[in-house]
Amino acid sequence: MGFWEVTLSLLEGLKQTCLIFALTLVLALPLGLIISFGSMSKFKPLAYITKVFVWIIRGVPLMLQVIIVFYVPGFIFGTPLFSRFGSVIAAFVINYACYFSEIYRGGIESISRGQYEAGQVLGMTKSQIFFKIVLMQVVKRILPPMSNEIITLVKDTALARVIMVVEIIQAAQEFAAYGLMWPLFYTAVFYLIFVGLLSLLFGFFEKKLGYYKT
Amino acid sequence: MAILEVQNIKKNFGKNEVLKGIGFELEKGEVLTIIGSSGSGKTTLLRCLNYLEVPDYGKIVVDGNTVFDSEEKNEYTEANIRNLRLHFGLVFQSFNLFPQYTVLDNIMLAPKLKVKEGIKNKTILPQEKNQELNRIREKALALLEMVGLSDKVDAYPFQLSGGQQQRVAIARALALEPDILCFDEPTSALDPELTVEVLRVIKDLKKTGRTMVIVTHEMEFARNVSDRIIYMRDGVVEASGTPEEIFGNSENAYLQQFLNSGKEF
Repeated sequence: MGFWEVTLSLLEGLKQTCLIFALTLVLALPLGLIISFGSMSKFKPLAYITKVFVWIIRGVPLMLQVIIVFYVPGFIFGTPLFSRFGSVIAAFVINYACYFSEIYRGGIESISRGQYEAGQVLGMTKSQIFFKIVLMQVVKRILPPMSNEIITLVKDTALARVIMVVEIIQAAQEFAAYGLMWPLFYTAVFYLIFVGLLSLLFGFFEKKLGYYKT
Repeated sequence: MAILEVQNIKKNFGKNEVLKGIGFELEKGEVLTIIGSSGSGKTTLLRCLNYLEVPDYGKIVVDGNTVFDSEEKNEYTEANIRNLRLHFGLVFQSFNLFPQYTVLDNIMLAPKLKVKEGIKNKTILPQEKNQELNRIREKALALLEMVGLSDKVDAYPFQLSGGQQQRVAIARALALEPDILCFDEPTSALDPELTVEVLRVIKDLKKTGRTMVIVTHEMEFARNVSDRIIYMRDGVVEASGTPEEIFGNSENAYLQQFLNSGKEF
């Protein structure tokens, strides 16, 4: 089994890895914002329920959550609710949305009251204050923790193989049946390139927002 | 007729009575200074005027228009309050400039948003937009010249000293043409030499006939710039009068003690 054959096979696995990564990001980023509004709600029961939910999701291993989403509906309804891939996406989106929500909350709460009040006394509406004053400051503050979390997501995609979704590690693992171990180590190169590109991208954004200090 | 009438304002935070019935009047072009120890309710009073707090009781009248009346609390919807609070401008102790905008954009942001809304509500015609924006820009530049910061138009707040930031904040508040400009301890966060440049701007504003309400701990400044001084203690107006009456007062023991407290060292 040659180098190119292995590379092609791993690239096939990488496609799945990228798909899990992209779908999770696209869905979890907005969902996280909604959850963060829930946890900051002035309506106490909602804030309380949201916080308990975030505690549970962050407190249980993601691997276990993937297994639960895939198998548990089958036990209860007699038929699985999601496909293997669908289960991975559902578990990842919920898990990452909870982590993102805490980052958003931290960012939003770190903006001083004075910024809101300055907007208020200048006669701005709540939405004008949020979009014209607060949002950009929040984005600047959460960029470093977000990039951290997003880089972790790249590597967490490997958990998909626990329910036999063939991402890059699983693709490499299949060569082990032929006694080939090196493809498994070779996958590290793909991860490093992926994370390297992301780091460059985040570095670019941080530089873009570095024109002012708070 | 008084431009500002404040009648019997009361405000509680939980069980803590912060304002216990404050009343005063202010004539157009007058400068009123509010002095008193920390916790006497000065800042809360100022925040009530700017709707950052809603009084529990009382009435506020600006230029004959009732802008707050606790009897008609339901009328104060968000949109309503937004218009009413524009009678007042507020300069904060901690400046609160918007860090991501240049000095000029800090000043123009709110007026620009007003134009945008005006077009949406059809009070401003779309073809007038550029003319309006030019007017806002001219006005902002003129205000910056007045506070002596024409060379900082494109600077960001973090590049300015505290005194410069506060002067931008004053220009920003004036851009909306408030009837009454309020200052909440505008120099408390500043070094002595930076304090001077801010007080000078306030003094210049007095010369142009601007009505102002100032909460301050700068006693000399209060004596020089004020037409009237209110001494607050424990949520009530303990004494009020002209600077001569306040600083010459020998009857009120609390006031005496307050005025002498700074001279100990």
